[in-house]
Amino acid sequence: MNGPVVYIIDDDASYLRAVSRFLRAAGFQVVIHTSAVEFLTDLKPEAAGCVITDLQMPGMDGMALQAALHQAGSLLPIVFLTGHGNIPASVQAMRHGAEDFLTKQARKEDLIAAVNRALSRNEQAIAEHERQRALRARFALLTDREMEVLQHVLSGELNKQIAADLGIHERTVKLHRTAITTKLRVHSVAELARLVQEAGLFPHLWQSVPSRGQPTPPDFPKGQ
Amino acid sequence: MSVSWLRSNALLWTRAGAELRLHVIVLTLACLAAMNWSARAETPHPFADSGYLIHTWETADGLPENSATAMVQTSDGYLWFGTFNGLVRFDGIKFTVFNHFNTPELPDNNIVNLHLDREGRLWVSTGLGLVTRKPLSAEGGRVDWRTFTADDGWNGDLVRTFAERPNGDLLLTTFNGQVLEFSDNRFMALPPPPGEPGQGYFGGVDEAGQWWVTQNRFVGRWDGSQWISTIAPNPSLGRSAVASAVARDGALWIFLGKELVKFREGKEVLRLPLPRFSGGVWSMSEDSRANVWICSYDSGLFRVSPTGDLHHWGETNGLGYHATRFVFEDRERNLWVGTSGGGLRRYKPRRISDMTLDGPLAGRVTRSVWPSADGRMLIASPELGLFQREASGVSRVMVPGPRNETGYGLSVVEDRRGRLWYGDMDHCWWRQEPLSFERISVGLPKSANVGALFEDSQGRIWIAAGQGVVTFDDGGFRELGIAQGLPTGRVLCFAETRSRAIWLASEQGVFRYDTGRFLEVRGSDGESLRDVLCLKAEPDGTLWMGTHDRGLLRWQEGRLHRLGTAVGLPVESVNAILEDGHGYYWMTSNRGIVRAARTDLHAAANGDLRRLNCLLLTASDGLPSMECATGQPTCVRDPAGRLWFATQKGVAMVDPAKLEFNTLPPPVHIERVSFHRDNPGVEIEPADSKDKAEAAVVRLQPPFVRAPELPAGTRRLEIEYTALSYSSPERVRFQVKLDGISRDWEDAQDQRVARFYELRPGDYVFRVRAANNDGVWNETGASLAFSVLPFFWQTWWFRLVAGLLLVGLGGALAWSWSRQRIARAMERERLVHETHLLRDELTHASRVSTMGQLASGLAHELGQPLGAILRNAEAAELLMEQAPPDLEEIRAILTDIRQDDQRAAGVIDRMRSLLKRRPVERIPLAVPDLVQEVAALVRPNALQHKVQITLEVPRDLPTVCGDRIQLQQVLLNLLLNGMDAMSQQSSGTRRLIVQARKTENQMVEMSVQDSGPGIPAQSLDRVFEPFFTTKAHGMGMGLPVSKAIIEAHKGKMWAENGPTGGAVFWFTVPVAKGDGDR
Repeated sequence: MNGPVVYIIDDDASYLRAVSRFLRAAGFQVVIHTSAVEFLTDLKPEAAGCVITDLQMPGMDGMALQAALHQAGSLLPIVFLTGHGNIPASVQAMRHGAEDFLTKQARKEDLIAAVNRALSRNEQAIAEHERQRALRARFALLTDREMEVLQHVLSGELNKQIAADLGIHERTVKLHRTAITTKLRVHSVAELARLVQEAGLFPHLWQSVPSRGQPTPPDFPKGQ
Repeated sequence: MSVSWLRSNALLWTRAGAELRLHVIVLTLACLAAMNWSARAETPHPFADSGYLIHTWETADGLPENSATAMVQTSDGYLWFGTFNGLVRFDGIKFTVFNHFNTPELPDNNIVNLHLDREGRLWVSTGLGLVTRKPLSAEGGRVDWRTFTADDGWNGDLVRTFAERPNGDLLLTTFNGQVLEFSDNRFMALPPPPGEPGQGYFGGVDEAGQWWVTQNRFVGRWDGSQWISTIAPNPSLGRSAVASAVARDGALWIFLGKELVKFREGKEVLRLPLPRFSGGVWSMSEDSRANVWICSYDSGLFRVSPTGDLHHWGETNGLGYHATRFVFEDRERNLWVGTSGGGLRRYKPRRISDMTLDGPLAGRVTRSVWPSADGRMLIASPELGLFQREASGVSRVMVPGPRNETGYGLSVVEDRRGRLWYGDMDHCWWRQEPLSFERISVGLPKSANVGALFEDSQGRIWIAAGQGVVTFDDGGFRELGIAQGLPTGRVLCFAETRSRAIWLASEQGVFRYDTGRFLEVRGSDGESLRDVLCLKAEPDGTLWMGTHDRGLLRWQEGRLHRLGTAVGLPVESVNAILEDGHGYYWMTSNRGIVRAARTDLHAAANGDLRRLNCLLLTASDGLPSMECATGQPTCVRDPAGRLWFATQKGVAMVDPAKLEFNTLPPPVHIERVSFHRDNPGVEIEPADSKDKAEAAVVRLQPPFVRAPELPAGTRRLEIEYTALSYSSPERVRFQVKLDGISRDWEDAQDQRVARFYELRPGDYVFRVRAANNDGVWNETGASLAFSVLPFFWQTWWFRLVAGLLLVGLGGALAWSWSRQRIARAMERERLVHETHLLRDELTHASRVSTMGQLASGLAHELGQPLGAILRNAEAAELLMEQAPPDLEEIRAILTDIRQDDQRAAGVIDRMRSLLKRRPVERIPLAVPDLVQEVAALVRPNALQHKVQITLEVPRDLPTVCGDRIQLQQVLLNLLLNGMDAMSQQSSGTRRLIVQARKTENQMVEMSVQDSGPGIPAQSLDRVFEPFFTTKAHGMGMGLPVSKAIIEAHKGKMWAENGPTGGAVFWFTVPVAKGDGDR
């Protein structure tokens, strides 16, 4: 099966059949499951598309499915359906990144819009994921020592300090820095920092003041 | 020293005493060369102190002042004594003080001397005059006081001595040196005797009725006209070194400082030299045991025994204070010692001697005693080791242990061959030659705890060895244990019966050793006798067993009889039994030593004697500790017939041949009657309302001339009584009876007050009798007749009038009532109807409210089919737009739509049927269907709340009779409540179990169990109360309505907490008629 797939999960066979008929007639690729466990068993890591699931199901319910997908690193957005509006549950689901929250009698326009939104977000997520993967591949070119130096550079240390911390000559530090900029194809420390941030590396460096573009050096104990 | 100051100011009296003492000290110093000072440092005879038990009463014990100046015992049995703060009457427990304030007839509170004359008059010499007190006569009424003045010829001072002739004439000597005769109700001063006034003379009278006076310069008699010197005292001994006293036999004792002389009929008959005496004499007396007591005002107390031995009590040995005033012997032969400043003392002759009072074992734990052939007593002490007591005192017997240890002695025996056997906590030793102890190794582990040693008639030695037994005979040591049928366990004692069978008691029971085997002896129910502490065999084969808490057991011809506290044995544990050779058994226990006649014990065991007559000897008889040792041998009879007992605080000894008994029945008196109109519950009134409380109490004291009449409305009556036995007042026992209320005597123990509440009007007689410490009863006792007056409404005439009035009133009422009854019946009818309506309304309201809880679940339930219909319809629309339309698919869609519509309608129907208001019906109902329908209703809610519902309802249950909707309402309510109860716990553990089963009595019992926290114990019986709720939104009507429904179905409903936590609600519904067999 190529292209995005709408995975529908509901324990009520009648509604499952009805909604899948409708979405298929609306032109989506649809795969149905009567339980969350069954769906998770069949799910492939590279699957693209979105999930429409009933919130209340015996066994693993919609909320638990959301948690399980998040845990597995899946990028599939989730649209929740419920027999009737349940405010606390919907708030919780949205907080955990649910795409939408609809009642089972929702208008068809709303349903289709929600599915489209979910699919496009999945598309974006996959693209972002790909970009990040490529970025990390570039960082993978760096040697362990260069990664070490990079970390010190990002902390805002001068070459002299880095040399002292790592017990190497200052000139060697300069050599490492040149190698880093060459391999990552950047021209400034600011650019380097942005790249590192985008790649999601050294998350501890950004945690203190994430709003500022330039990372501020946290307090590292000497000799680390 | 002048006379007048004493009269003018009594307070100076004590100063006078001090001056007196000072004076004597100066004199004493002057005569130092002549004195033998060793008398002061005399070491008492080693065991002389054990002759008396000394008890002291001081101000802290109730004395008004810490002195006792003189004492008498009146014919009614009371002891009277004088103090510097009043005249005191003493009953052994309570001091009743008569002083100037409560007895105006007493001129002064300083009571100097007392005398009881032959007519029973009490002479009281006070600091401000002389008075007499005439006792209460039976018919008399008032106490008659008389004060002597100059008109009576009395010009005397403080009375130093009283002497009385058989005809009642008195001789009084005073401190200012006067000698006065009282005869024919008048005083006549005799001419001053030769010598000097000094502190006055000792007066006396001999058997011929002649007056004697004694002083340091003159000892002589009055022949009717003049003083005749009889004996010349040594004036250099000092003024206070001489004294006299009338002897018991009527003769006269004269004390001359260094010798005691007895005169009979004017002739000297005895002279006892007392070179070691020193001190100034205050008074002298002779007791019934022929001891002469000399009270010194500066040197303590001296006793001269009939053989002339002098014993001294001073501040170093038993006397807290040197100034002694008198020695008085009461009728029970207790000696009372008065002191100036040291209180009142009782010297009670010991019945039990403490044989370790002096020496290293004083107050130490002892476990075993055994007389050796050479007259010594061997003593084993767990604290200090092995000791022996000889005439010279207690000394250690060295047992050469491996580390020269002192050992922890538990048992000691000398066998007939003179070998010594000694068991301690670790080992057992035996000694054949002096100083050659050997340790026994056969069968004796370390920590053997050899608590029992026994030599049988064959000369075989039995040793309790830790967990078994070791024997020794000519064949050497031998170990007996499991191999011979003796279970492992500590052995406590041995005994041998006539047939030479050896009996032993161990922790495992009682066993008999016969022909090489141990056989267990069991109780009548086959139980092991594991509480036996000691065994005592009789020649006829009877065996007595002392037990830990069941008293005595007698084993005779295979049958057991028990003698416990029920038959009058005063103790529960019997540690050892010893025969005294006079037909008595002496039983030791943890509460003293009991003596009982052997024949009595047998008679009681045979059922011929209902109550044992026992003598109980305790600490008040001189027993060093109430707790006697356990083990064997803990008590023995020595060759002289004396009995020795090992106790927790030393070794006690009794000589049964010399044992004295208190045979005097104690006089019993009623001392006070008080009646209260107040609430009997109020015992203590606050201080500020004291006057009010006093007003509500009326107190009467003897003499009770007429029977007291208690006013109507008396709510509480208190009668205080006493019995006058001074040997052990705390052991006096009382029995009381109130004629008119009780027939039998009631044990009042040592209570000296009887209280009666809410007595009905009538005549009563209160009786009390008492027994002394040896159980001798005063059967007559004392009695008091009194009556409680009725209120006017408690009288017969009032009741008659009231009865007639009642009959009239009753008739009138009956007429009026019958009229009202009809009206009330109609009203009741209407109320019942309204109640029914209201109840139905409430049931329905509750059901609606329950349905409200189902709403969210039902919305979901409806949401499914409605949503499906919508989506199907939309899909069909889209399919219709396609060319060509997929008709097959559209047909399937339409089928689904129809089914979903029916599904939604079903949900609505189920709800509506529950919500509908309809008459109650009673039809047979299948329980499984009933339950499943409800379960379907709550399923969405269960899903929502992640609750797992399990139904355990067998299909073959009989149908029940009831209203379907109402029963479902009950189940629904219980299921929803259960879900609510579990909402706070983690979702994996929320479970509801619905069970149903048929019971014996044609009911179906159903339960709903949740896995929640359960119902708090304090709320368990409140959950069915209306408006009781623990929920934030609950109304508190669900359970009460459910219960009402079930009860209307003739069932029951209750709640409890399940064994594994969680609440369980139960209810029962009757089985439909004709369907009970299923």
